[in-house]
Amino acid sequence: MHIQKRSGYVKLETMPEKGEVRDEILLQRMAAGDEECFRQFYERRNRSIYRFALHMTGRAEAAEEVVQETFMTVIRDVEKFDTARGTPEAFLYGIARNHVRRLLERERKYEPLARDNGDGEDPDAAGQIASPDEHLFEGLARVEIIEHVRSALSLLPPQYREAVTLCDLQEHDYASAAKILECPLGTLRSRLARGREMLAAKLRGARAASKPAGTRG
Amino acid sequence: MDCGEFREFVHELALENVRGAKILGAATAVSARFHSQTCRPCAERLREAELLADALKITTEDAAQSGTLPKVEAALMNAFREHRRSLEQARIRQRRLRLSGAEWMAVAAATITLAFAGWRLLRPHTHGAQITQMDGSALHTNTAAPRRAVPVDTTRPDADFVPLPYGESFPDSDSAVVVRVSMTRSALASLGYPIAAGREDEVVRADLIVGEDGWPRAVRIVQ
Repeated sequence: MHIQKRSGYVKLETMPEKGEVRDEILLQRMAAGDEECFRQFYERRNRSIYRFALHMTGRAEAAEEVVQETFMTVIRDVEKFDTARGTPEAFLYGIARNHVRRLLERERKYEPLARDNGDGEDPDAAGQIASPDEHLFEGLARVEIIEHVRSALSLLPPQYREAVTLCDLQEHDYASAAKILECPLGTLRSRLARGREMLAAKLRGARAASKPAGTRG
Repeated sequence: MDCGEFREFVHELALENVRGAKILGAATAVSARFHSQTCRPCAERLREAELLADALKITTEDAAQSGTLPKVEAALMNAFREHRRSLEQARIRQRRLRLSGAEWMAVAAATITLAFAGWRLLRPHTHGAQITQMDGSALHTNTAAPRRAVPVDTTRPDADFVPLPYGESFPDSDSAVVVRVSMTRSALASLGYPIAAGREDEVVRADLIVGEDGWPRAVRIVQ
């Protein structure tokens, strides 16, 4: 695993470095019972799955559970991986997404947005502009910003949350995210645009609610 | 670029501004930036999008601080070892099944062999085989139907049968069989049976006492 600075932004995804064994090979060897290959694959991928699960569930314990369940499934079903059907990353994220969905269903964490038009989009939120004195995060500490973002993110419908998480919080490019989400590029762009708008709207709402009554404009 | 188009790209433009990443094409980025400088509402949109991008960046960096999961890792390594053990056991079981299959095949082969041997022992002795002469040519045998074995009184070899001069010891009555054949007189002569001269090509019917080894021991003219 490596975290490298790139253009002032943290590159989070852990990819095999030059000379390292590719994920496909690791999976093949794992299927043959090679423990060291499993360890390498886990070390290379567990953090990105953890972050994905953390952003999707909003809770560290739930994210840990998803990581464990995801890799348990990999151990059990590694023979099912087929290079013709997708990348190891898509295979891994596919498993993780299923576990996240199951966990969210179990916990009924998802709350529908007010005036949801059935597509998860709040019709009033898209394109709405904040008034100059209602800017997001104004006067908030870093910790509070993170808390607000996580809380707002957890209220997005899963398909938008996944798109925002992969592209804006995990720095996947659109093509790679579309592969992971098994959807066309256009669908990903559309989900991402809506997800960002909805997130901004949620944050505005949360910000307005958290401001003392006297300070509202 | 109009406000509608700008809205489409505002978040990518904000990400470019905040993260320094290249997401939009150069021409689109320049056009969007120019629009945001000339349109106040879109400038506000961009500012808000930048705040969101910044908040997402902070959240990303915070998540990157998350440490390892030692308990999870230990549990997974144990699970992997357990899974590998169960796979190995399954393979051994399969191998055992395969061995037992081979054993079953050996048992089946042994049973067939025993059954065949039993049938050979219990069946009536029949012979329709050719009898080879000393010179290697085949005797004319009547092979239209297997002949029934005739018990031979080997204690009285002189009863009609003439022992062949170079035949080995007379066979036991259990193992010897009498085979009726058609053969030329010259073939009889080659067995050592005395024949009259000038009738070498005449075919005669004769009974041969044939030992277990297939060699004739005695001959009797049927006519």
